[in-house]
Amino acid sequence: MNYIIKTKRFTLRPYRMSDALAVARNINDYKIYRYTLHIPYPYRLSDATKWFKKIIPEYRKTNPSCIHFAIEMDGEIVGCVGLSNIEPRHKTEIGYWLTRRYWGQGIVPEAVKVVTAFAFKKLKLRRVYAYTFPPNKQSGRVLQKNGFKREGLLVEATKKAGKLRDEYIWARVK
Amino acid sequence: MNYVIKTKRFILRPVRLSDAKSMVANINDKEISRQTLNIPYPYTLRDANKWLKRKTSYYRKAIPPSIPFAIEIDKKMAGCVDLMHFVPRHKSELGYWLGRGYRGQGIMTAAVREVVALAFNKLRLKRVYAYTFPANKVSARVLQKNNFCREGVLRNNVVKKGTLLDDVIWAKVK
Repeated sequence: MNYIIKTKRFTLRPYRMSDALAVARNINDYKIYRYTLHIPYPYRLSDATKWFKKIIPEYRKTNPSCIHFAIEMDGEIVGCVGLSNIEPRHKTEIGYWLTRRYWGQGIVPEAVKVVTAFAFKKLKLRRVYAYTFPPNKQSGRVLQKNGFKREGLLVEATKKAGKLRDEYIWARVK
Repeated sequence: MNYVIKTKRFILRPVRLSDAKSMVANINDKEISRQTLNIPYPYTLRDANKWLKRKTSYYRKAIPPSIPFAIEIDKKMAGCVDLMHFVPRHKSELGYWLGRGYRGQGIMTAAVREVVALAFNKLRLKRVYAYTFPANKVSARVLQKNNFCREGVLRNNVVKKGTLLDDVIWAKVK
């Protein structure tokens, strides 16, 4: 399947091993870390290469368990929209991050729109869901703008840095 | 993980391979299959043996994937309460069924109360959650009576026999 999607402002494309340096530089941010579950802080180059070794082989599979789209702008990787826990023809979880200097320009809402459409149309999925931490209003806005509905508040459903945390679950269905 | 709870009306104890016969007598029920995700109908002795073999192997593990309890009444396995997707010191998913002849007497509600108390007090969990199909009012009542909170409805969350179904998610936290 073709995983390259171009829009006016950016290109979504599969990660390559050579993206590790750009990812390590642009994701290494406490403000990204605090509202995500699996992104460490500080973020080292080895974190990027370790993660790539897990996700890059998936692009070649007939039924990938995840598809991560790198957001490329001006020749640089500035963020990501990823589909994970893909259950073929059924559902997937969506997650995303964007480096801080590109915030406030509607890039993530646009990228999520494109990737959600990809999930429904190309992957023929029927449910795309996301989790956010309640204080993360910006991420909630990204989902609202894309027609995601807040389905519930899951109390103490996850742990971050050893602490129990609540999370909202959001979904769009087709 | 070999917990035994005795009450006036029933005993909660680990499931055994020798439960197969009385288990089939009670679980082989179209209504039970209809309101659960993975219980087939008809339910054969072979299904029971396979399930019991897998589940009894869990009790020996340091971190069991699930902790099932047989509801024993008059030496028979009348039903089951299972703590599934067990995450140590954090959470577990509750699942249960009860044979037709034992319903309407508050047995399920009492069994869930005992297992949830054990999950919080002995196993030191902080969250016990459960899914019900929206049409399953009887199961919802069991959870309501045990002060579970209805957290939301997850649309198209599961596939059963090729059909997408919604899930109601319930949880009790400590």
